[in-house]
Amino acid sequence: MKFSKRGTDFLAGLITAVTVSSILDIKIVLALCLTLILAAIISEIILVRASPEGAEITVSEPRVACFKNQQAIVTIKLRSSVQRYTTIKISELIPSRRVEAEVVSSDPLQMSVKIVPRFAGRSLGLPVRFELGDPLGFFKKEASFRLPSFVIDCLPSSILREVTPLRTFLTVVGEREGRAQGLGVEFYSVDEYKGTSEAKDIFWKKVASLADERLLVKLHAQSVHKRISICLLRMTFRDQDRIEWMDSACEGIALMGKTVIQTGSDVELLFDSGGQVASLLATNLKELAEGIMDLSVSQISNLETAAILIDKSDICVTGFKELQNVRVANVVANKPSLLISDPRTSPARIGDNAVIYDENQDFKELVGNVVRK
Amino acid sequence: MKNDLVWYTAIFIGMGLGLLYIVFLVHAFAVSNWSHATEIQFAIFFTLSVRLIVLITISKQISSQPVIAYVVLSFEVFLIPLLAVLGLWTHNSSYNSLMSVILTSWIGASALLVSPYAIYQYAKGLLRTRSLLGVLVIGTLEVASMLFLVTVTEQARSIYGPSSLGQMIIQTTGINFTSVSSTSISNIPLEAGLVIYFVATLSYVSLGRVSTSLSVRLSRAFLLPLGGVIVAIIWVFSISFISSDLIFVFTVPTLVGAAVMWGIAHVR
Repeated sequence: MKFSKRGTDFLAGLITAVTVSSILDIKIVLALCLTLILAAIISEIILVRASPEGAEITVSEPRVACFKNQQAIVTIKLRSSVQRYTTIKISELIPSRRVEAEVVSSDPLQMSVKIVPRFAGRSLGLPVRFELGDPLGFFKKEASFRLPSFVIDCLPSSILREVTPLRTFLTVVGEREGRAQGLGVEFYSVDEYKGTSEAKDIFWKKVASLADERLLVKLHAQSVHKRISICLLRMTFRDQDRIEWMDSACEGIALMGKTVIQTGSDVELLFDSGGQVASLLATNLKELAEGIMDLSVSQISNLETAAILIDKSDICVTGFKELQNVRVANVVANKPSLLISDPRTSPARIGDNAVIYDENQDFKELVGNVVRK
Repeated sequence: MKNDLVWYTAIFIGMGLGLLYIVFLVHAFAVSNWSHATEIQFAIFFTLSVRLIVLITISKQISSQPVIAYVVLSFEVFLIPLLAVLGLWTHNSSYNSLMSVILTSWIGASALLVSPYAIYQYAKGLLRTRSLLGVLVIGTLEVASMLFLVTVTEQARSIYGPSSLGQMIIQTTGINFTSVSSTSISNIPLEAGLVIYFVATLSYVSLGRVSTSLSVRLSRAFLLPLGGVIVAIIWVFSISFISSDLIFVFTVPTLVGAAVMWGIAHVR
């Protein structure tokens, strides 16, 4: 508990008034000062006994989703049933490294905050600081509160990047047709004959029905895999660097996932959820973004779960710290993998199919290697 | 609601101080005899009235401390050093007499005319200011000056114009300020004025919060100082007559209370 600005002012005024009126012998002012100090002490005791347990904080939306570096407005409301005579107000949003917050408008029981998430991933809880005041406004007591149900989903900005679908080779025998022209057996579309077109693809029935002399050819859809599995493997605790590491992992998975979806396959996201392998299927970009948010709050895996994750996945996303374990490094080396670097850490081994994350890369080669497998 | 209450308390503080001024004015007029007042005294009195009207007019246009404008417009203040130098240079006693008349007339006229203006400015300032330091200190000085003037005029047998009043104020201040300001007058309007000031200031401090959340019920919060008021009024008008030593009755408990308050705020 401490003095408010008004309280400091009151104390200074009171001592000056007492001194002046004692010298000038003004009884009424002395009595006034004594009454005021008694009132102030009672007011202070009320605040000492007050606790913020009756306060309830709600937000306009329990879940806010926006892309990295884009802003969202959240309104925080305070419902108070704290002790009688005690005032309460939201004083500030406790700043975090992950999310920048700026107060747009504020009154004692409501605050509008502009949120700008700077790192991709899910942030759980909203730390808010509020202030309890005494009846006379001379003192204040601060308390922190975390709203656990509030979620900020910072979607990776790489989902917004332009990605062209991958072209598969004839040797690929996929389970479904892709979203681009290819060498599969499924009909894709009709186009005019070009120099590169093959004579066997000429659509003679259609050509015969045409009044003009155009030559049309049948295009075939590429054949792709039904599903590409991407796992996130976390086996070590990261303290300060966790936010940046997870941001890179989310961005990398988002870009690879988008490439896979654009090619025509589904993405399966695998991660550790409470010691179990969780699997989320994404057939479109919205599902992919939501899946990455769930994956961003995944657990640290033990060796057993890690082995299942690596085994089930087509692409493994992990970090240098995980690869300091020789056994893990040897297993991951045999897989196409995206490696997120950790500062001052060297992996025991990096496989030939591994790519180290760089935000300027498109990972087409890495995804292509899996798709063409 | 809160602003209305602050507005009413400011009016009551002004009324309390105004009542003290009226008591002073009644006493002053009861013993005043201005038939022998010189033209200089009248000139100072009337020009001061005009200057105050100008002051009230410009204070609506320009926001500055009223005391600054008052001093700037008081030509008497600037005449005194000139007259003092001339008196010393020429050794002519008429300069000293003139200086004395101007100074005392200015003080006497100010006591009569500037006091209500100062009370009005103080009450008006209560609506705007957030400084309790200013409210308490200036309020104390206002009460002290009003009590002082009441006591001066109450003890006077006759006042021969503003110069005479000014002379009495200077002499009384020089002799024994403390005993004069400690009023022993049993006067109902004066006591009423003091009680109004007391209750209104207490209410003002209780209500003039920077922010009040909806959870506070002002009417009930008001009970807190109200209990203190009753205790204090009984104390002022009953117990203080038993104990003559005000330092032990009021000053020490207040300062101990302030220390306790400071201590709780810093220890917890």
